[in-house]
Amino acid sequence: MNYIFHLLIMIEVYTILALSLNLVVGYTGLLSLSHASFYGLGAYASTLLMINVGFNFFPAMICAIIITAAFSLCISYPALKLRGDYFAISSFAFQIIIFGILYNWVDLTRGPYGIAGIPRPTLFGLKIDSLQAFFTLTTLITGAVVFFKYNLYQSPFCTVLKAIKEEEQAVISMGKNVVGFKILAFAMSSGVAAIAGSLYAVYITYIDPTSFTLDESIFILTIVLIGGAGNFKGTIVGVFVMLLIPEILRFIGLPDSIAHYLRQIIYALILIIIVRFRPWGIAGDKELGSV
Amino acid sequence: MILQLLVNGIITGSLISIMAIGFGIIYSTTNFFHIAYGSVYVVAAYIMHTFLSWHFPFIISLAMSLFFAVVIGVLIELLVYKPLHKKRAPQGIYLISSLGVYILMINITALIFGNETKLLSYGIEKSIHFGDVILTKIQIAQCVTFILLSILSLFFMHYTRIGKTIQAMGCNARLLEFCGVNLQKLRFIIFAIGSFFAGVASILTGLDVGIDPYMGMIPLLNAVTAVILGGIKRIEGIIAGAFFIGITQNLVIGYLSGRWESVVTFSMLILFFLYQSGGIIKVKKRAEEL
Amino acid sequence: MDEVLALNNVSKSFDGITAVKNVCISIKKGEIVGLIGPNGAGKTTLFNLITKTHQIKPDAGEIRYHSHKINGMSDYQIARMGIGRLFQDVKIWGSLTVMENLLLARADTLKENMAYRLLFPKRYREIKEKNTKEAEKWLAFVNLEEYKTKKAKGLSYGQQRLLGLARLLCNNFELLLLDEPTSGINAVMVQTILEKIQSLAQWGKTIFLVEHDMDVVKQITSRVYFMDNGEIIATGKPDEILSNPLVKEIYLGC
Ligand SMILES: Nc1ncnc2c1ncn2[C@@H]1O[C@H](COP(=O)(O)OP(=O)(O)OP(=O)(O)O)[C@@H](O)[C@H]1O
Ligand SMILES: [Mg+2]
Repeated sequence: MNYIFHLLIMIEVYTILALSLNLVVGYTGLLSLSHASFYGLGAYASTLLMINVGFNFFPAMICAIIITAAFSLCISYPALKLRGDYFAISSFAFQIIIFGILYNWVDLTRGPYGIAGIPRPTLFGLKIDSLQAFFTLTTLITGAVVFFKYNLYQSPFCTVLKAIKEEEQAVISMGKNVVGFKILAFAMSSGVAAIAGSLYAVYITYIDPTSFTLDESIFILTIVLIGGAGNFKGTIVGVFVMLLIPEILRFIGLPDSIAHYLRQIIYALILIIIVRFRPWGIAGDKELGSV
Repeated sequence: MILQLLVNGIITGSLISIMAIGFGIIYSTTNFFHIAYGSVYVVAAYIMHTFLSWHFPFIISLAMSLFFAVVIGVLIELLVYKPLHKKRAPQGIYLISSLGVYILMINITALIFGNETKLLSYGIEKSIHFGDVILTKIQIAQCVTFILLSILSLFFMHYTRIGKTIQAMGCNARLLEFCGVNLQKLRFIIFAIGSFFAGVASILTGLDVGIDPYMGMIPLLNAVTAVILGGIKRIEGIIAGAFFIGITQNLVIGYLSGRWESVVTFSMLILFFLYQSGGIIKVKKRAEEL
Repeated sequence: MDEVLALNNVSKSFDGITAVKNVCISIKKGEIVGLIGPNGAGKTTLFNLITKTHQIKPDAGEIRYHSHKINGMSDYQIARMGIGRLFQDVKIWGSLTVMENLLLARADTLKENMAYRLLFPKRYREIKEKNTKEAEKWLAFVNLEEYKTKKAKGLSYGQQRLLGLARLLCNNFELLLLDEPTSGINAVMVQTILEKIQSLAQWGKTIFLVEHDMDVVKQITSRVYFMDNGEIIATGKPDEILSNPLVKEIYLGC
């Protein structure tokens, strides 16, 4: 039973991550390889605020959202004015930079040793300690994020993003600041990733930089690609598929060392095959187009 | 100390140059980031390692390794990029496929060989002293190879017909197609040349510091940074970019710490984008000029 | 004085190929001016230079709109100044419905601001209603009402062009750059469009259009620029230009 709860919590965390990345990759048509770095920034920001400053969970999370969204400007502000592919490569570089900082700035982040003993959140004086209580918390937050995203996807803001992806020049010719829209979308996506990061940190109660690597970014990207660009339901299907693969491998009983590589190989194959044969995703809708 | 750092910088720059020239040839003509280039780099080193472990002589192992690097590079183009090219896929799709190929090859390598560092050469390298500066034999080999390869590639690009065609392809591929050039064949040649450079860079590095499956990412990003800083199209620019990075990295290692090397390099890339987009210093440059 | 658009010695080349060379153009308020010339003359490129489409900027020369220099401004600001553009290739948003296409074109960016929507729901609704009304008006104008909720990519080429035009009219642009507004549209509709263009000019809008149909040019323009190989070769009344021996030789093939 605990195992199921754990799995469900992780599914919820990744739902938040994938939905937020989909705003950038699916709706705006920007290829971001740095989502894990925002996930990590969120986790570290809220953890450090809780441990070093003594913030409560919720204020810490809100600060983490703002900090992470501000960091996203490092990529979006310079790169979006230049060629399209420079955005992807800046995000790639940013991912390496953030990992490097988390790993090497030992005074602040304790580097490779990670930060242990992250306090569990309290809500109205109630310590959320048990797995069930925690599951309730993540479900509430995920529900809020899903609701927010769902409304966002129906909003005129997202219509503009779709239009940008389809015919950028036409949007510009209507006097809309396309670069501004993209920067805002990217900041929103990063900010939401910070929610997932904060939840992860207080759930596991331990974070280290290896949870927020380039591989993790690619993992989240694969979820979005499976789900299909700009597709709401598809993304959730993607989360289930991608999170259940390692569990299945575990049930088969492969030794851990092999399973790790095999998992990566499967992800890579999924990535290659999807973009080649079904660029609109396994569960996606062809109508909505590809990434 | 500063002299030693500069010399080390030049050596690092040489290695980055070799990698970047190959990457630059591919990027300037195909216009997408060939991330799988980093995995060609890794696999070349492991092939060398395999042949050496089968007790082949050094020179044959080297030749086989470079040969397979070229074959793998061309195969990636044939199996992965060519079908996308036919479908006229957008750039992002190439990048994602390329990333997929990278992960695939890295993990297959790790599955077969394990992820611990392996050595390509045994025994302690004799070092040579020039005044205060210390060099190892392999470092000298790295520099010499770089000089030879850069002269060769400059000559190739500027004075041979294929080289000139490749340069023209970077400007306007469509036009070449109208002139009756077989673009697909040219692309194979480009991938072959690029992969050869990756193989050389990989082995020169592996001989010095050993190899592991994850060794490809940082050199790849160094090469990308060098190519973008250096202006993509011109080999001279790419080399200048590579040396700038090499020397900066070694100054960082000397005066700060080796751990910050890649953070500093890639921050430079982002700062460069900021500069280009007229962010920090108000220089209005147009995107199309890049 | 009431000069709306002025181009002074504007030049642009791509990789050594000169697409626009020393072009000088001056258009006054309320005028309908034509730009004609053979394929590849540089007409679309000239429009791109004015609206900075694809970030194209002139190599030399300056572009003024109401005596503001606009060739240093960013692309969307130029559009906000009041320069609208109908693209030669339609560039509609195919995955959106016809109505969404029009609503998106409304100049009010307020409706895209979520905070505004939450803070001033009433005002937001008012704006939305006004936008919908305006959109419906122009939809009726181009006779596309029945397609209101259809995806725009399901429309025929001609209908897509009409939608493009309606989208342009939804936004209160003052200067309209129309790149072949009548191509692919049936004769009856062409006449309606031309009438409407004329009435737009009467309301004080200024129109600069590229056209290959000489009857259209004769019917509505008051002045014509003839362009060949990136250069303006002749300018004057349509009849004068069309009887110019050089123009006849290069363009009309007689
Ligand atoms: N971005 C660009 N890069 C390179 N060349 C370009 C670019 N844009 C236009 N050109 C070239 O400029 C020239 C003029 O093209 P343009 O589209 O302006 O012609 P046009 O007068 O609009 O023709 P048509 O009547 O067929 O629409 C062409 O030779 C074209 O190849
Ligand atoms: Mg044209």
